[in-house]
Amino acid sequence: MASINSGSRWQFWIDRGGTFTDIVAKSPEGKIIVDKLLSENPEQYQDAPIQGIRDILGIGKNQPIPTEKIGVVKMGTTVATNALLERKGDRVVFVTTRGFKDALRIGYQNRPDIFALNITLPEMLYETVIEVSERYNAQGEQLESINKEQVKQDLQAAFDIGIRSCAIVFMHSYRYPQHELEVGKIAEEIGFSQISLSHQVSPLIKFVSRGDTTVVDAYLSPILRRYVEQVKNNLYNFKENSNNQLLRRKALDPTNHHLATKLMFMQSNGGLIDADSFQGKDSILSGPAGGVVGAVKTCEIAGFKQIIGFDMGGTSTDVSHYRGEYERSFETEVAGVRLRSPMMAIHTVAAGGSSILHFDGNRYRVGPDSAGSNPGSACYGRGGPLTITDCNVMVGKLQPQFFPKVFGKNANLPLDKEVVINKFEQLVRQINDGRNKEQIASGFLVIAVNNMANAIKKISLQKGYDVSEYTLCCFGGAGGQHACLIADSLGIKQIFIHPYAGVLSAYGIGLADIIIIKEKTIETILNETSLKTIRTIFAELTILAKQEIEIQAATENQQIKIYQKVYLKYAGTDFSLVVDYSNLEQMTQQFESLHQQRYGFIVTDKNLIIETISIELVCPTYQPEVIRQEPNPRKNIKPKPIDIVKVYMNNTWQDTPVYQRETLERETIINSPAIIVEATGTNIIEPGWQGKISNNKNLILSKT
Amino acid sequence: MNLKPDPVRLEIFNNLYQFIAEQMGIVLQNTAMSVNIKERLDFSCAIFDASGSLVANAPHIPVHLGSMSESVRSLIKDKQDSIKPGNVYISNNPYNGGTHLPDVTVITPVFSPVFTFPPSPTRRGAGGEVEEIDKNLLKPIFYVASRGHQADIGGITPGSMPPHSTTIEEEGILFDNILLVESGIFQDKIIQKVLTNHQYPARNIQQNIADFKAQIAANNRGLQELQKMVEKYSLEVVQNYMQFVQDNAEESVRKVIDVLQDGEFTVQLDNQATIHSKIKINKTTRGAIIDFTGTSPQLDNNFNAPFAITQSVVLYVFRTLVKDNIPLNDGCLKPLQIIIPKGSMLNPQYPAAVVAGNVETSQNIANCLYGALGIMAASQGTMNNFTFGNKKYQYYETICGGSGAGKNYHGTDAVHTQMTNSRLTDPEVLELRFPVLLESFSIRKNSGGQGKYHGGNGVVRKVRFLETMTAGILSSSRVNSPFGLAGGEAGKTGKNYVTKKSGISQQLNSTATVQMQPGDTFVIETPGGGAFGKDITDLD
Repeated sequence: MASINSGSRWQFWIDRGGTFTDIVAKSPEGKIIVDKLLSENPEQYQDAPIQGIRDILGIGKNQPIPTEKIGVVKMGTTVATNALLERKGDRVVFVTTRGFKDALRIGYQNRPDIFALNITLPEMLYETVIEVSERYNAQGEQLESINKEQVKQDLQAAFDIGIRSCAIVFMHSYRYPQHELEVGKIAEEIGFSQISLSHQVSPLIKFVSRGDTTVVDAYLSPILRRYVEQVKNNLYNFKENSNNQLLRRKALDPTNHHLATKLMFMQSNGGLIDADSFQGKDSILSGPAGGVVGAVKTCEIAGFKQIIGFDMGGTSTDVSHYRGEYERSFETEVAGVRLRSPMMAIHTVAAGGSSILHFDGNRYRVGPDSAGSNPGSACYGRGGPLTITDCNVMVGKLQPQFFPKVFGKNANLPLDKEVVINKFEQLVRQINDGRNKEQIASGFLVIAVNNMANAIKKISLQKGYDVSEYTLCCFGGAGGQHACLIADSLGIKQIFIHPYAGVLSAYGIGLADIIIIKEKTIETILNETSLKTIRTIFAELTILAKQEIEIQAATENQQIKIYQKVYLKYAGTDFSLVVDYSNLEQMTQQFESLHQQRYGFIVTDKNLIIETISIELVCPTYQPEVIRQEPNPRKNIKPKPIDIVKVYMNNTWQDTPVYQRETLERETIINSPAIIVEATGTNIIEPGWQGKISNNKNLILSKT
Repeated sequence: MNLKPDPVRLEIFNNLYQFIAEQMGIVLQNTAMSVNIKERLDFSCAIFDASGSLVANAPHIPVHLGSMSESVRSLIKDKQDSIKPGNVYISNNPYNGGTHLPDVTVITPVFSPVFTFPPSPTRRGAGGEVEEIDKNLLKPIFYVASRGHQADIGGITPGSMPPHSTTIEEEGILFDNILLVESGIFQDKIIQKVLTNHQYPARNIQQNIADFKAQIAANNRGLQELQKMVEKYSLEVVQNYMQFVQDNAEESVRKVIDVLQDGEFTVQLDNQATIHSKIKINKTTRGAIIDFTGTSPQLDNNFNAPFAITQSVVLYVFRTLVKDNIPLNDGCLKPLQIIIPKGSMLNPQYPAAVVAGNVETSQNIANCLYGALGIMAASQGTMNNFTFGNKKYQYYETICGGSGAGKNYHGTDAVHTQMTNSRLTDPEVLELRFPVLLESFSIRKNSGGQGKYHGGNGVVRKVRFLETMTAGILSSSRVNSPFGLAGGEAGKTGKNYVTKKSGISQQLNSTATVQMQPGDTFVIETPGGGAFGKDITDLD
């Protein structure tokens, strides 16, 4: 532990996103440095995170990175997510029970778009299938044993055509895993380098989604392995086929804390894990999960306990909900693949700064298509279409003079307002509804804001909470431009914008804990007998998880917190609710009160079923020092604007002061309308709102 | 009335109406008790204007599309002046706007928010004086409705999907615009009486009533949200935009009609009944007449499909022609004139049995329309309704098959098509909850028709029984194969059979009920889709 939290070495917290890589670095003196660079820039560098580290440490191209000065590198990455989206994972053989070779392809038989005549289903991730003669029934009787000779022959054939990764998924293995273990052993003997066994990847009932998850794991884990190797090689300056194996082994030895830089990755469940244990199935929401952690941890320090996380980026907006505990979902669909693995509950809305504007002759529409990062919005000056970002340029909320000159074909020009104005003029003629340029831009903004607000309302209604009592925690590149408007349309009265809001995912990755989650399907009636059974299983899971966390962190146990959860549901239903593990009466009571809150009723004549139990081991990696600042003796400070610009708000052009966030003192009050620019974003204070810089330098917007 | 909609508001209202329908759906899903509604999402919520025209809905299952406006219009016609604030109505009458008995619709009229409940003929004015209220204002300004599939609504078999019913009586309880709530009071006794006082009464009345209450709650959400909207924007604006969003949808459909051709097509069902459709495009009015004259008369089995079903299929088919995310409302139907002779199997009269109309005939109406338009070969033309159970267990599923090929695309294997999209129970969950063993579930090779663009393949599903149970299959395309178009081959017909423990195989008809013994296996091979175009070598 001491090595991770060591104050005498650098820490790097990195979110490698699709477009940008965000870096938050903490110097040995405790100073925070923030950097943002393009994730892909092959002419300049091979790997953005490594380049960022070099930039911050001031290390030249051919010089080695002084890893002894770096305590830990924590990373979130979209490497696996992109491989999944682009279907560029490793070749996989899917090994399953006889009769089920098509089970994942058929899935649950529904089609994604009910109005499409040409029905397009997501492409399968595996290349070939082996059916194995074997079978357990639901009660664990072995109906048929494995024909080992045949399996061996079939697996060898797959190996011989060059497949090295296999996913083994048998019926009822979540509870009766013997056959999977046996076949796994055969695969190992043949020489497969990636063997994903479904009962280990996801020990939960549901053949189809567990099967999908296992295939994803086999498909992506090798990619992650290679990425981790690449990062290590770059970090330690190992060339391909390096002779210096000794140095390499020494540097990578996890017990060698004085030399080794610890490399950790962010998982979809919101916890960090050692690079070597990072698995494909846990990598899909790596970056966004960091955002949720960042939002939650920074809000908690600031004293906000009920928050809506609002992370608005270019192509999409991620919404999350927090009220004292991380919310996770056990089944998530990403890129047409069902993932049965605990992930942060993040709701993605297909609307962001790059959402394209449309006019179909009758109505204004926004998205769902996006201009992406290339060509990007019209204002990027690379021939892109009009987008929401362009609307904000049009109405003056985004001012080119406050952006770096990284636009245009050669990435050396300012934001192109000219082209935005020209394009809106064309739109005025096309739409011809009596609106001028800024009115049209405002119209599209209203629609975009409504779409996002409706999506947030829908989630809150589904979960049964009143969103107007929450604080909107706003981050991501485009969040601050729309925060007040979104809050207004949700009835939210308070907005929180952290100083690192523009890189909050990276910051969250730095603040995240090591988390080990172990779960197990139970599917038995809740009673005293089954409670005894789960007590034993909890103990077993705890031992397993502790072993893992010890390898991870080499840490003292007293820092570890253990949470034990029970997923309960009424007999005959499929939706479970999570309660804390305790005695029969208390769990029943907690379940009923949750059921009442969420569904408005309880049932008295149905048994409760224990669906799943899970344990979560949490071990902190870094506690941000809450800097006990003396309160600023000066109150109600009037800030000095760096400029005054015209902004179209409330149907009129208003003289609007622009402030530089970094120079605003604590206790500063900012009246509306105002623009607050900062290195990684632009925040708008709309009429009816007031901003304040808090004692911790947070920007808090309140309804006046 | 302001005759031109504002394009910004048009989109905002469009989204808002849709959002209200979605909110109703969330409330229904949350508060419902039955697995059918809560987990299989076999429900639909919608809002309507004062004349009962659909303004917005949020369907999960295509056959629910638009079929509810018939129910609302029947209520308006039947009850007219007696509709009061605080009343809620319930209906599933297939001869009066319904589809089949398990789909029960709960309708709540919405009145202007100035009338608080309980209704009073007077209200206090701004100065506290008592004003007489104009009686004309005491008419509903909107309707909201929710439809949920009841797990059981009585009839001769548990689950109310009897394969061999011949009259509506045998299919269960019929509600014909009955008051579910009167002046704010839930009509518990009356509803219980209707559910029990029947030759084949409902089997789980408590669950029926719980779901009805969930539907009332869903409607209430819609009512409140609409009233809030009226307070925010004024009744005139809200009503104008209800019209505008329909006009907008109408225009979107007229645009696709422009490019369609006249056509005619006949589809034969396994019981020899025929569905005939003739589509005539009028390029000047940009409208179409869809004429089902020539379709078989009312049948003595349960494949009759009430009028609302055909309307729903027509709406679905034309919506699929629009390659854009357009609002779905009665505006889409405006350019379409639907002619169905009274007393035909697509416009049956009391007491015709109808339970297969919703699940089987609907699929074939869709095939027939795509055939007449010449744009897509037949999909499997059935939902393969498979049921089994005994005193302790009851189970119902529909099974996917092949989809039809089109002008420039192949059909898709093993997928739910056209009027359904319901999910299947996971194999491990199935085996854990029921004494059955799924021997195999795989794609049925070479069952899709061959051609330039081939049809999708069906599936083979083999379920072995471990206890004595009654199993039933209600299916189509076992005798007549799903047709190909433009010279493409037809898809293979489906098959139903039982392999006894002894090894003897027993072939079954399209609809059949069988006693299963432990060790017997029920096998369902679902049909493939038809191909499009003849020359395989021509494929680009």
